[in-house]
Amino acid sequence: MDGSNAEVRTRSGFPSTWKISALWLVPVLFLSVFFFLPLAEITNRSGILTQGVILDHVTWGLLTKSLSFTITQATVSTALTLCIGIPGAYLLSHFRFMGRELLKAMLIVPFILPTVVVATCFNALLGPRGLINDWLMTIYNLQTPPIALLNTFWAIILGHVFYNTSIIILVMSEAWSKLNPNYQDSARILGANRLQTAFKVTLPLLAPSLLSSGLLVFIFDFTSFGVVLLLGGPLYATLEVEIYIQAIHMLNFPAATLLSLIQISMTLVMSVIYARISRGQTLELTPHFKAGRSLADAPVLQKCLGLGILTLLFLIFFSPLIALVIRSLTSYHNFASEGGSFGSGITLAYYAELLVNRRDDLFYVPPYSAIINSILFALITVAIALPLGILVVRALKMPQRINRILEPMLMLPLGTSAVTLGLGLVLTFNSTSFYQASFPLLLPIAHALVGLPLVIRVIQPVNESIPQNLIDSAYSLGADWWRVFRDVELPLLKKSVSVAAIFAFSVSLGEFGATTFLNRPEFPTIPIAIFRFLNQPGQINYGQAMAMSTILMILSILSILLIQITSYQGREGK
Amino acid sequence: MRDISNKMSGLGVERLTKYYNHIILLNHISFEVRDQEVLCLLGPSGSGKSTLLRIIAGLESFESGLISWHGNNLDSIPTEKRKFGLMFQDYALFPHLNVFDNVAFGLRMQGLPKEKIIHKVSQALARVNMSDFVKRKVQTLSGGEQQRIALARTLAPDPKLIMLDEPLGALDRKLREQLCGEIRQILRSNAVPAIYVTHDQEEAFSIADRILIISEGKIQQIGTPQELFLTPASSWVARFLGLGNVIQGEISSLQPLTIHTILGNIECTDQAVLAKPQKGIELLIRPNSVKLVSGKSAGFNGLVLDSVFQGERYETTVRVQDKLFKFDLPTSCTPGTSIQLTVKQEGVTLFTSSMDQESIKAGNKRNSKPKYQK
Amino acid sequence: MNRLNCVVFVFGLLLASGCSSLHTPTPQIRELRIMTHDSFAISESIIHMFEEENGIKVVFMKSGDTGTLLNRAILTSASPEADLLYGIDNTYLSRALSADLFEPYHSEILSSVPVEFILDQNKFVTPIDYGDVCINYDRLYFSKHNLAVPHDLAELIQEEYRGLLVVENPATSSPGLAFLLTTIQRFGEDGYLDFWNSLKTNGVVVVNDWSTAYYTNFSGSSGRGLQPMVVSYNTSPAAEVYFAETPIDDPPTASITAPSTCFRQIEFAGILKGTPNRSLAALFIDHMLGIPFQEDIPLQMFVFPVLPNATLPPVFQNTISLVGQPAMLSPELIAEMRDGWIQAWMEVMRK
Repeated sequence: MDGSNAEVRTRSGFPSTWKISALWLVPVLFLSVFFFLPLAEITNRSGILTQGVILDHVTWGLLTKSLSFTITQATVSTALTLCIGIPGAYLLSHFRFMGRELLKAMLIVPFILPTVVVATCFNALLGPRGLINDWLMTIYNLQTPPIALLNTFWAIILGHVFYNTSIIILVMSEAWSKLNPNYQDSARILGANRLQTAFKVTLPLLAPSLLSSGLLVFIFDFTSFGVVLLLGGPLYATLEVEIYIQAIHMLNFPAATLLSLIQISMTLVMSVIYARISRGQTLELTPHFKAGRSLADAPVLQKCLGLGILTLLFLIFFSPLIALVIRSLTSYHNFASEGGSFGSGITLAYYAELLVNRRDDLFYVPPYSAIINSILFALITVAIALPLGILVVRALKMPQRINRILEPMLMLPLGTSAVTLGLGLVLTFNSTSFYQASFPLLLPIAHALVGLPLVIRVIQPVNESIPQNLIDSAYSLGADWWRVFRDVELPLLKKSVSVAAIFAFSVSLGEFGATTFLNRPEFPTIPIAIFRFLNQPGQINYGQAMAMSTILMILSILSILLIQITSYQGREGK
Repeated sequence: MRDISNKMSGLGVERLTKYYNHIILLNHISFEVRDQEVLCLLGPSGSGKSTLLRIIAGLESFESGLISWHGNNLDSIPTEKRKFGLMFQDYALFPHLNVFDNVAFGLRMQGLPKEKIIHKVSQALARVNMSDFVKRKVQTLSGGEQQRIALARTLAPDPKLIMLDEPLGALDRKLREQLCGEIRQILRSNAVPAIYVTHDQEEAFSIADRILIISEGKIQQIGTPQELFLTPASSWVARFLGLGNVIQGEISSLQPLTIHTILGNIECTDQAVLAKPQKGIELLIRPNSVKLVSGKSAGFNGLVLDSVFQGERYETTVRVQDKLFKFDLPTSCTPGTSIQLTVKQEGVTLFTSSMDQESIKAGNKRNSKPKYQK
Repeated sequence: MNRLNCVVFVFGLLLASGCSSLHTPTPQIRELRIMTHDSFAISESIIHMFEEENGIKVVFMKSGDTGTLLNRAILTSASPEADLLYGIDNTYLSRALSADLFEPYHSEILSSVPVEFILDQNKFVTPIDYGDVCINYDRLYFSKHNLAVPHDLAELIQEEYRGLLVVENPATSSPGLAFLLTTIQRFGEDGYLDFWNSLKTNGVVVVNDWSTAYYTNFSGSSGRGLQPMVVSYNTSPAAEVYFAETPIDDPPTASITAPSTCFRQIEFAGILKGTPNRSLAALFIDHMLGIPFQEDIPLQMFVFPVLPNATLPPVFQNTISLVGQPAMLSPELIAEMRDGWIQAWMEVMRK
């Protein structure tokens, strides 16, 4: 915040420059070796440096068109995500109600599901023959489905809202629940009405976490691939989609690399702007450990508001997921030869089929081994990203110039195309002995690169808000920095650390892009298995993809609940 | 003391009842705040004082009752239109604004012109002696400085009623004493009614025109400091205010009224207690209401445990049977010696044991640091 | 704070066990490394047979679709990740050959392979299997509506087929590209854009990937979509029978296999330049052209083996209508023109 705390923070006994260098050492090394080196390698190999890119009107048009579309859709998506995320955060931070923890766990599920599955969920719900269209056609006796959402701009936006709202909700509700309600009450007493209070007090006070989560969402929307490709259809292409088309289908490496570098630069610009705005924005929050009031006992107006938000969240998040579960359990008979029409019934056949290797397939994936692989990779990802993130967050709290340079760098992996990241890692380590010995580790490393910015953005606002006098008093009691960290800071950070762990875990569980480059058939993950099923015709294959997706969904809900429960128990124990 | 008896009633609270999580928090509370009066809400923590302030401010709903201002029901008036001031215990200074913007917040909400805001902010800061802090960030202020800025912020928009919730609660003792005096000056000079919440009777006695003692969601007594001091309404109030030693007794004779206690038989002139049927009787023996006697006449024996020099008197801790008493004696007594004392009739107040034992215990526990008024 | 120590300890343990369990030390056995795409599948026994015969281990590395595979191979050509690459098709062939990825190998068995599959006369790559990208249709829909199945792409622009066809984007999907190439072959470079223009007017639906087209938009399979015609493979009806949820004899779908309505994709294998296991890789190519491997291909990947004397499984014989005259374009022409064709197509469709 300012220089006045610098003296205090060096009480651990080391000069602050030493300490900050020590904190940055490992994260910087990690990022250099596993991100910047691969990036340099792929830029070098692409030939962009030697051949250059021919900026003819086609390439130029491609660039401007995709860039402007990328910015437009990311802006609209982020705005809409905030519109739903902020009320959601309000609900979760202000009220207790039945199933609150389950709701929080389920909010992250979209984050984990691969886009192919999400596209299928949306189709099962909103597609031409989805539940809603079927229903409307029956009620109003229509010949054609009234809702034509798929392959439109708004399908992309809806997909992004579905994917990213959880970031806003989880990051902001954490800060909001720690916001001293007396601030808002003081404003009211000083003559501000509810609206003025919201805009002049609550919003500025929540700005750090709003900015933090908003930036994450914007970057995710900005670099969106699967949603745009599968829900938006051929008329829309973001930079990321264009990178994929150019690299994979046009085999135009220089152009793909150019687009990739532009995307990374844009991410850098956003991160720098963010760092600028957020500097000095932090606020010392009083840890209010109250779970909020019971929704059932709330005044009528708040109750209506709360129930309204709940309904909205349910419609956006759960209806597609429920559609998925229903689809995985429904059998559709379609016998052309018998001249019959569609019939449907409940079946467990798809789940049973997962356990059978019918064709003696060499690459058959038993569901349990896919689950074990996925969880193992996800745990290793957490084990890499979390300590690195905590080191970075601690370093960022020190008022040092070096932070301003390093902080934005950490966001770059988020803005890097999965194709670029995956291929870059392969290219860099392909000829090293590390590659042969521990190739499977590259996968969690890539996941950790993407998870690290999330971890930092989740923990940082809370870490900044730990009152300095708490830490000072601990030092004054003679504790060393490790004890202060362990006994004072970590317990206060616990909840945000667990949220961060959930995100890192989820990123790894659901990641597909870089996984296709770094995965080996020996260690298939669940998304890989789903993708394999979806790539072959036949009811059983489709059904198995739905069943596997449902398993992934349930698995993620369970793991998230587990993380939440353990972190809560820890707090009660204090 | 100003004469307040003829002032008009500003704020009226009638039969206010509030539940929280199905537990009654405020139970048929009725009182009024007269114009220009400083009313202290005094009570142990958790007695609902802060909630009461929040309800008056319109921040909290309530189940039944009536809040009025000059006779007008405030029910439909939202917080921001009541034009009351409320200063929270933690001050709640906006951390994203500097000192000036904090103090100017309420003025801006009134839509005052810029020059007027600047003028009023500097006026308010001057009143709390903080004129040099205009540009400071609030996080860089000490606790005492924050308290003054919060007070300036509350006063700046000229509220019709000022409410201060434990304004000195978070400060250390020395600062409290200093600021207590300043707040008294400011409230007095301000000439608007004020409600001052505290759990510290010393603070209440030095600031209040009238004191309202609240406990267990009920008003225990309301009156001027003198009234409270001289005629506490119950043994609980006497204990809570730390007026002296409270002991149990039984009527042993009616003519003359004599009470049997562990301090021997005490003769009383106060006959009022007999008007109500009673199970037992409690007596307040003020510290200065005993005198040293010798010989075997009357009184009781006690073992001196401690004797502390307090200027004109010695605060003496005496054990009688297994109970501890504090008495003010004119001379020093050596700890360990036995002394003989007798109770002066005029220093004794009688109570019927109307309060249930539970709440007496609760009151005692919360008021852990009894102080003795001279 | 024992809990924290516990957590740290458990993570450390997991990391350690993760490293050790994921690390499969195989210094003794020689490995043959094969790079392929995600769709590759084969029976375990077929690979074990080869491993036992040669006392080696076969390691597969899969990476995405065909385009991704080729990219990876080109970018790592300085120090190849594998000994053998399988899965390049004729739409990418020329590009792969010009990147100089392969070492030539002339398998003896090639003499039994029909010449139409041998596109590379220098034998840098060897054909293994082929598939035909055809329009599949929902049989129930056509019979219910008394609609005639089209026999020529030109018929698709007629009014009665309005809004009935879903195709994949050639810029993002390999069957999509195959279908675009079919129209180029059928209508010529001068005429294909006019055809697409009319097709667009006639309500053709374009999606980005095969899964969406087949499982969301197509009415004949699990998606119950709105379009009764989809660009897929002529083997898809066989898969519908083989992977039916309850056993059926007759597929719900069929493919249009009239002349110049399908595009033939031939998949090749090649020995990667610089491999230390050249002879072993050559042996594996022979193994791939052997009868057991060739006969295993249909039910694993739902494509046809190149060897004519490999017996097809019954489900193939009963349900698939074979393509007599597929559209073919020379790999050189495809390599040269594909970007321009796709770009021009894009401009028409996005207008």
